[in-house]
Amino acid sequence: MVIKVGVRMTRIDPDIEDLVFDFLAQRVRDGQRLGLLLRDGNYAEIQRIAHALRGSAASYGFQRLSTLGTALELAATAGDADAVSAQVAELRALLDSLAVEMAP
Amino acid sequence: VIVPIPSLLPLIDAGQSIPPANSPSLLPVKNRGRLLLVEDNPDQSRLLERWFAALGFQVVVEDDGERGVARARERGFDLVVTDIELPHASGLDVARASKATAPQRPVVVMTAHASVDYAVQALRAEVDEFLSKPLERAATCRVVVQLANKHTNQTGQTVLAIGAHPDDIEIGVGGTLLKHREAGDRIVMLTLSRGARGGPADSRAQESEKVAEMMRATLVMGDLIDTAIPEGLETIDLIAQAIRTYKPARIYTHSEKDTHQDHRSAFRATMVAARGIPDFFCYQSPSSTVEFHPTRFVEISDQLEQKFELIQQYETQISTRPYLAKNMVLATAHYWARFCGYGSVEPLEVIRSS
Repeated sequence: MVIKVGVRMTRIDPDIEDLVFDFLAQRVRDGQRLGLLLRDGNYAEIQRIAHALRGSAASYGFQRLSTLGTALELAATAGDADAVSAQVAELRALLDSLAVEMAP
Repeated sequence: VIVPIPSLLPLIDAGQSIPPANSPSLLPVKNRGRLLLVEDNPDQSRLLERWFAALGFQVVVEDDGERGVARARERGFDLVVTDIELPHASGLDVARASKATAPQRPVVVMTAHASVDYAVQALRAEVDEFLSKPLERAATCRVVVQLANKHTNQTGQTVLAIGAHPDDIEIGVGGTLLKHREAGDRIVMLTLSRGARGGPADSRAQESEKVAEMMRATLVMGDLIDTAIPEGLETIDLIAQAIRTYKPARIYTHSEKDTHQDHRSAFRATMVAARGIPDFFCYQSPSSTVEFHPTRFVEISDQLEQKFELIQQYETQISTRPYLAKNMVLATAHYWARFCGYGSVEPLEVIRSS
């Protein structure tokens, strides 16, 4: 199976396909939640979500998500509202672009 | 792992050499051992559990530091993999608890906060590997397999336990073998017959296979005739083949002081086939006579419950064999303990001890 994340294609190990779908579904929910957390200024929770994303996304094969998680974690730790806002927007745009193609 | 007789093919298991990167030996292997995974991020723990299970590990997951520490104090794991940042206790606490319980057992710590401070603390906790997240599958699996193999090879001698029928070995030396496994030794169990007189041979073989899996032992099943196992060439050859294949440093088998003819034959054939093995011990069977004369007592208090769990797997026997009842297993273990300060023990006759 190949999943398209933005312009990048990620090939997924067949034995973890079901986990990848669950993982991405959770990230879409995270994206929605991050918007609410940003509105409330809850940087601690944003930092926690970003940290988890940083640690696990690349292991699932999504390097770009992991990189965004790192940037968001740094911005949230610094309490930089503009940077957090920009990173959350970029993350949500990336998650909106998810597409899945089954490998032949 | 069941090995069909007469092939006695060499097996791939935890005792084999360390595989290089992308080696085919990273392909699924049964019984690499029990792995404790402590990770509070469910996305990460689900993925790691899948990776490690695909390698052949039996994975137990805890998502909390305190529970991880409690688990790490158990002896039944071959490897511990833990995140550092956990609720209620840290991964370094898990590592310390593991090393205090089983100093030789490898511990891997992981963190997304890779820093010198963490690395130094990890070194002080004497962890074996420090992995920085995000984890990459091939590299992570390679580390885990290498450490599991190293653990087995480092301490690992091979012990061969021989029984005439399925369940004989577990009754006689189940606790002792569990202790060997905890020490990193490789266990091979040779069952000379499939026990067709005591129940359906296929069912009894399946029960043996399940027990071997629980013990992470290699099971070799012979197909000699139950109640008519000869003490001569056929049995000697079978045992000699197992010795040639697995090169054990220690042998456990039945005592000659036994009313069951198969048990006596197993003893006599082993005496011939294992004449070059330096450590040779005989265990007690429910049919041992009063002449059974043990002089070595193995303390198995920590393994007793697990031994009983192993015996419980022989469902075809439990309802008809009173000696498999828990109170009998416990009473036997407690009776012999009076010779060595009390507790629970398995008694052994010493034929040779190096």
